[in-house]
Amino acid sequence: MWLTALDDAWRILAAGLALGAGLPILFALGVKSIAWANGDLPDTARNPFGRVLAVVLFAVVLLAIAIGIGYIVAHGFGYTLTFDGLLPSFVKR
Amino acid sequence: MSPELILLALVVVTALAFDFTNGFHDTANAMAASIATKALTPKTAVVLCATLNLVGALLSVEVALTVTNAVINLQNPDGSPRAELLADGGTRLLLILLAGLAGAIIWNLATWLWGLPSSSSHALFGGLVGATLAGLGWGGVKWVGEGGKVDGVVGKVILPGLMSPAIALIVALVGTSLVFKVAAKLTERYRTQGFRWGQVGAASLMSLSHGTNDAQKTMGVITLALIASGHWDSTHEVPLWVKLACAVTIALGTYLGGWRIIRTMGKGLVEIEPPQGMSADMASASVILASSQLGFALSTTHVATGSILGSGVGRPGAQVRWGVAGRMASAWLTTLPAAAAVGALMFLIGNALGPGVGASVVFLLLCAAGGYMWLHSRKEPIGHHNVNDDWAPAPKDSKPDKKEVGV
Repeated sequence: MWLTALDDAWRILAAGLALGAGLPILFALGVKSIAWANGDLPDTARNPFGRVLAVVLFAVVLLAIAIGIGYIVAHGFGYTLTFDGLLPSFVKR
Repeated sequence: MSPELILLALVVVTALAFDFTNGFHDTANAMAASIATKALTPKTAVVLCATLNLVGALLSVEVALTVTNAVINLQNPDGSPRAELLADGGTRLLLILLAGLAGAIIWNLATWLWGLPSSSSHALFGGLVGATLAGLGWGGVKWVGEGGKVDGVVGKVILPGLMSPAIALIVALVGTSLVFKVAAKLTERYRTQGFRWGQVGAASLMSLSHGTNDAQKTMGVITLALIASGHWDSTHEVPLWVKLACAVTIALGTYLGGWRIIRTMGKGLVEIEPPQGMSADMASASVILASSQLGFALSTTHVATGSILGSGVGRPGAQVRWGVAGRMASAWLTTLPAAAAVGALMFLIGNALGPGVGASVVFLLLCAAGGYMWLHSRKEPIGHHNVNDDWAPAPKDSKPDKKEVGV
């Protein structure tokens, strides 16, 4: 039981770091990109490309949150999320 | 009304009361950071959280009938009560549930009064373990899982209780320190405005997830009581009224808001800035969903607190109030035994007086304890008006050192 629990803990830590630390960083980069587009970063020239970058970064974060909501809802109906290749899909538990 | 029916009615009412405390005890998990960073006003936060809890609770059609199986042996694997417990019309089983729920509620109210975020599921499991020990003896409790499964008191309560705050702390620490590196050159306006939406998104995920998980526990307990007393016979469905009642009750509890706990988590541990709040909430949401996927039973409370602590350690120059954190940790360690002690005591009292009278006395004792603690809380009320006041030095109308507030 101890080993199983430790094994679970490692997986949760890994997934937690990927999503729980990764998404905030992407979001922060998105905010920074907007500042870049607006010319609000010190010593950096204004660049409209920042806005495009920001949209992409925020879209990734939003998609992750949407998958999160999908996951919670699916679990409520007895389905679970699997990654077939890279595409998320819902299957009956 | 027959004694059996009185007993059943009291179990249902007490279970809903527990659901209510579960709601307001856990508002802080999802919303404390958003309230502290002013991403949401206190009132908007509780409305959003309550709505999502309601939706979450109604969404889940899966039956959590076997919830007590994690720690005690009252039910068969399919969720039906064990045959030997039905010989007396289920009276003993109902009394165990009633006493266990009473223990859980009393501990939830005590920790709320102290402003400490303790786990509602640990309180429920604690109460049930105590009542079962008193009612069925040592063998009634499932201490460890069989065949390497992460189960029983150790696998479902103790191990996750130790691991989850640590995992959440590490995730939030890493996230926060990197986010602050990214945000280092941003002006104040971007820092305060920009991070709002990410934080509200993560907090909403946590609220929804809470509704799907926690309301189900009460639904499972009530349905078990109905089956044991012969008022329901399906182990594949929860009666519709049970589902609606539990969903509405947990949402009402959430809406009430456990302001004392929100204050401790949002203001007491660390001063939370928006980038930090977002990192903490996203860390919590990720850890909760990842462990739900693996079927690892961790407590939202422990995760949320670990994340907020981690976001404090990870922010350069932040001051973490380790005294407050220590007091929380001691509440976590005592939750299971304390709720178990109250649950056991309640069972012994109820059992000595017989099903009808005993259950009524247990219920009255619960009401008296609840009423006393509520009155006590009115001496230094904390609500949406003062939840964000500075932690120290304490202004006149905010909460002084909680040590003086004891029950």
